[in-house]
Order: sequence, then C-alpha cells, then structure tokens
Amino acid sequence: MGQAADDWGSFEAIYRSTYVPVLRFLRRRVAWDDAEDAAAEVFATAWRRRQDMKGEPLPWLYGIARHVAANTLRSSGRAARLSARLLDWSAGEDVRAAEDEVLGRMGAVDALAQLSPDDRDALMLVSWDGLQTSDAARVMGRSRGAFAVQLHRARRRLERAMTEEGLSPDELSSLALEGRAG
Amino acid sequence: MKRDVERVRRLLPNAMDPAGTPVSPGDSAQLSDRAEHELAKLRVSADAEVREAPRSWPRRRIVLTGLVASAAASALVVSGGVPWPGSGGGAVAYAVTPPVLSLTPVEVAPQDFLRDLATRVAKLPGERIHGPYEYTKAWGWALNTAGDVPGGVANAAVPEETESWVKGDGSGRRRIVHGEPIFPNHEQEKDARDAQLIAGKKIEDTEYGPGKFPAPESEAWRDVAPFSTKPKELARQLGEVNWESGLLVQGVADMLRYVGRSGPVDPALRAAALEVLAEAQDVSVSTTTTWQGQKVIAVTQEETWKGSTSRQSILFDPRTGNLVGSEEALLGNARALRIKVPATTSVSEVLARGTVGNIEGRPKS
Repeated sequence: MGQAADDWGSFEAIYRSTYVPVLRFLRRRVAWDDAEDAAAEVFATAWRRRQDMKGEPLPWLYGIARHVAANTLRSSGRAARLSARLLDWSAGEDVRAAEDEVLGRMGAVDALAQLSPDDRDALMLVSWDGLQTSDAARVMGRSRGAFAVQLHRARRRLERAMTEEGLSPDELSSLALEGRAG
Repeated sequence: MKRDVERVRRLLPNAMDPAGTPVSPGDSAQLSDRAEHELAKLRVSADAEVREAPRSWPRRRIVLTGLVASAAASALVVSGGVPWPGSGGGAVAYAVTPPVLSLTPVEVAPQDFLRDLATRVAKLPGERIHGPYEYTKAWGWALNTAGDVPGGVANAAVPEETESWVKGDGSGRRRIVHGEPIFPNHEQEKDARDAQLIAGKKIEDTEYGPGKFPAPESEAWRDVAPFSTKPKELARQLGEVNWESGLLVQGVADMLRYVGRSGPVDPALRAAALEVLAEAQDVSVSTTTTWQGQKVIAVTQEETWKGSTSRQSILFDPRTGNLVGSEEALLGNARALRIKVPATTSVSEVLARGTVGNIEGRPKS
C-alpha cells in the first residue's frame, strides 16, 4: 500500500488493525451473513490496489468497502436488506439503557432506513463509522464542501423522518441536544 | 458542518449501531478464524506475485520499511558515472543521480503565464493518429530506500529506460532496460540487495493482454473519466481522486499520464489542466533545461517539514503543453539519511512519443 505497505508485513499490520472496523462498517450496510464475505473482498481488492493507497488506511478501505457493499446488495438482489436490517434491529429484543430506549422510541433507526443510500452513508460515516468529515468526504468521493451540503440535507431529512415517526420538532430538538454523543 | 456532525452523532448514538457492540465473535481485537483464514489466502496470493515478478515498484519507486517514513523522500548525490544502455546498444556514462533542475522563474505572474500557455495550447490541432498503439520512450531514475536494515538505511540508485506500446484496451508491450544499480555506500550493497531494492533482470520485455498493461497511474481515474475540458469541472474531477502526496501538480500529472496512456491527450484537455494549475496559488512556474537537453516549463509545488523541503515539479513542452517529465527533489535538511542535499529523488523524462501501428513500431522522429 503505497510506500509503507509495499511489503506483505505492512499490509498484514494494516489488515489486523482495520479488519474489525471494516467488518462493522459492512455490517451496517449489508446482511449480517454477507459481511464477512464482503470484508474478504475488500481486503483482496486492497491488496491488488495497494499502490493507490495514500494517507490513513481506514478511510481508503471504507471507500473500497462502500463499493463492495453496493455490489453485494446488487448481486444478491437484496437492495432492501439494509432497511430490513435496520428495522430488524430496531425491533429487536436487545437490552438497552433507558436513554437508548427513548432514542429507540424516537425511531431514529427506522427513520434512517427510509432515507436514500447516499444520505444514509453520509450520516453513518460521521456517526457510527466514526470518521472526521474530511475522511467521510473522501469515502464518498466528494469535496468537503459538497459533503457538508449533503450532510446538512441528510440530517434535515433524518429529522423530518423522525418527526414523522411521531415526535414533535421541539421534542426532537430537545432529545437530540440532550442525547449522548456517539 | 460541525454542528451537523454533532447533531447527527446525538441522533445516532453508538448504542443504536446496527453493527452491535464490539463483543461478538469477529469483533474482538483478536481476529476471528474466518479473518485469519482470509489473511492466509491473501498471503499465498502475495507470495505467488513475488515469485512471478521479482519486484515492481510504484512510480516513485521508494521501498520503505520500518522507521523512516518521514525520510522516504531522501536522496543522495554521488560523484562518478553509471553505465547506461543506450537505445542503440552502446553504453553511455550518465551521472549517478541527475542534478537538481536549475529553475528560472518566469517574469510574469505564474497564473498569467499558465493561462497564456493554456490559451495557445487550446488552439492547437489534434495529433494525427498513425495507429492504435501509443508509443512512449521515457528515461527515468529513482532512489530506492530501505529503512529497516542493520546499518540503519540502505539505498540503491536504479536508472532505467522504458519503451511502451499501449492500446486502448489496455494491452501492449513494455520493454525496460535497467541501468547498473549504484550503491552510494558500498558496505550496504548486500543490505540493499537483501531488501530487494534491485530489479531482477537487466532487460525486461513483456507483452500484455487486454487490461493487463501495468500502469503506475491511479486506477481511480477510471471512475472519474471522461475528463472535462472546462477547468472548473476538471478541478472538481481531480478532487475526487486521492493522488500521491496530495500536491496538485502530482494529481494533474497523474491524470494526464492516465489519459495519455493509450493515445494523445486532446489539446483542450491539456489546456484545461494548465488552467487548473493556474488557479492554484502555491505553484511557481519556471523555465529550465532537462537532463536530456529539452527546454521545458516547470510547474512546481513545495512542501517543507522540519527544515526539509520536498520540491515536486512537472515539466511541460512549451510548444504543445504536453507533459514531458517530472522531478522530485529534496532541499535543505536530509534528515536521518546522512546524504548530501539538494538532490533529486526521482526524475522522469519523455524522450519520444507518438502513435504506431503495432508493438514493434516506433514513430518517425
């Protein structure tokens, strides 16, 4: 990968340090059962294209993973799986903290599932995927400015969808501001 | 944007993450059996690659392992000469490392100069096509460095001359004549060889099937092409690809090499690329004479880190606006490598190019 990872040893170190974040990235986007296959494809692609990597490896790997996830959904004919996955999760029996119960009732995840794939990606990249905005823009293949606009609109659409889930704008604003930072 | 990010993170807290909390199998710091299995499969494929091709460096051709990432852009100047296989088969002596280009700044503002050049280039007719293959003959030299050897750092200077014939479908032929490697520190020759800093064959002559021609340019350009001849749109397209070093001059050069891999670059695109460079505030423009005696325009950006300045220049033919070469040079502090600066770390120069009918043909000069 570029200079530092031009040998196997460096690639292996990157693999070991990034496999779990990449797997979790994929679990947010494809069916749970498909995520490990997709992760294998991500790293096989990364090895082939290692000369293209610049900067930090994780955002670059996420960029590959985003394409792999889209291909996985397309090839399996299950483009709606992410929505289903998110809805399954929100309806799950997991034990959550009281605060999370509140957020669950807000329908944040349900609302997220209703958005376009690009909006979902923009929102997930800066929240659960844990990226800074510059890296998130890189993953999306956009300039920082274009990404900022998209994130803003996606956030507004998410809030609108959440409001449609039954929460008033005031309640939403209050909960969002008081909620726990990710 | 910061406010948006903070708000999104509150709306989607970690506890709601559909990937779950990192405690299930495969999530722990230790890799799952499946992950280990996939890694082992990749290792097998990597070993096979090494057996097939002793070493294939990226464009910059600096192999760096271990602790000296920041010193990768180091260079050396060694007196003496290196036997160089000329195109006619005779040996010609060249300096071990080409000297740093002597840049003479243009007398007008760089932006004005580049815009004027772009205006002239845009009016040029397209090149006459003589066949389906783009032929290029290029001369180059790079310093290969390994940082994890017992002596601290091992260097090997490897010059080469490359002829390539590439068709639009990505098939073609490449013939590389490697010059004799030079070891600035002869005591490190064994370390340099052990670190695989030296290519295995003196002459490599390989034919490639469709899509197989090895190109150093980023394949990410494929997702962005076709390229706009409107400077603003082209600048946006350039911003979609993450180029080596992040310097605009590198991005523009990489894009032009990608487009020109299998055919001439349209004058309108060459002009647009010059316009994009003209918009950058941190480029300087100079005239200079290359190592092989060509009069060229150099567009340069510099980065300084802890007293060490990396200077990157891309070279244009002043008549056509074609990219004809590049130089990476180190100025100031050489950092940990105990070598003399200023010095070039990598240079390349196009000696001839044109379209031809087959993989044996060469354009008439």
